[in-house]
Amino acid sequence: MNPTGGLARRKTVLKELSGADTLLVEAGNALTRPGATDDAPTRERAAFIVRTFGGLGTKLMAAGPADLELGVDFLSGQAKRAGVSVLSCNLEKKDGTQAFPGSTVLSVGGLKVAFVGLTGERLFKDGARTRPAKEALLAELGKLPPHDLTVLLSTASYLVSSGLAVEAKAKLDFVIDAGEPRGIPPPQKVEGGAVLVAAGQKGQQLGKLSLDVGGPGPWADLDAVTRDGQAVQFLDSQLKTLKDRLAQAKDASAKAQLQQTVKELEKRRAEQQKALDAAQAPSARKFRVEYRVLDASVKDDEALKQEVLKIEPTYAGSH
Amino acid sequence: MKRVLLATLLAASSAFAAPKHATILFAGDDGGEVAPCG
Repeated sequence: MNPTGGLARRKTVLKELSGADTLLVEAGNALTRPGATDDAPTRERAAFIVRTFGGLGTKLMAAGPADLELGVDFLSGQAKRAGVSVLSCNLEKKDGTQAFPGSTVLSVGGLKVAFVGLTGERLFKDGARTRPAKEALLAELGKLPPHDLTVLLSTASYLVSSGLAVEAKAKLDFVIDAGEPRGIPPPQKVEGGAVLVAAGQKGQQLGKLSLDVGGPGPWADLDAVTRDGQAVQFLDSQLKTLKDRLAQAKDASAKAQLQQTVKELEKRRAEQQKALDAAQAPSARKFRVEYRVLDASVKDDEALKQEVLKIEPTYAGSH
Repeated sequence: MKRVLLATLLAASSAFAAPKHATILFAGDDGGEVAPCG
């Protein structure tokens, strides 16, 4: 067993990764455990988490069902005290008014990034309810001020988020999904061009989305670019071997077969090179998604660990 | 004429603008966990 995660380790990693061109966001579903009841320990834990988010420099969070178990007013009050903006484009209070702003635009590294929050569809104990996600999202996207890229922080299920990304077409660039625990699949580009990214699970890792924007071109995954480059190199070596064999071949049918294979490989290489060139064009927009797993190799921030122990006394980590 | 020249210069400068770099750090679906688990 190798317990992973924790706010004290997160703080240590944040100290390493934070910089001038860096922004920290929480995709939501962070405050309560599954099946939590509205009692004093649950409130204390949730308040501690929001307070810590603020202390770590979290700019904003999406309101997910697990953040609303204690009510809209609880989340709103705690977040305000912590200096964390809460977003949801589709959550309304019992009286029908919008519970939180649907979106905000933040500047980072010279880029204006529009963030939109989405709450997984549900009716909550305090009478708050969600409006249909698709209509609410499209309406919110339609009223965003000028910006360079759009990130949806979604607490709907991965499947729903994926469908919404397709519906939104080119209006969304990234969807960071905190809707359901399903591990950490690699980034997935959906029809329409948006990239779906898993937010994490149980606070066990910290995600890092690096952006390199040269122009308005489509998004290219730098890891995929590396793989494409390796594939071109592999095809080049295969082609060289085949051409050497072709030069030495005497049998007509063997020659014809080799020529056909060379032709097919050259076609594949040209396609791969075309994709590579597009991704490396000056106008391309490149991204990379990485996760830093908060395992035992990451030391706790000692001061924060002491605070965590008040909430989670069973945490007997030795760092 | 001056306007055309200015527009051309602006278009050229934006075409060759230096790439912008930014990093978004994120977490989510923490499920109320504050300490290592799993």
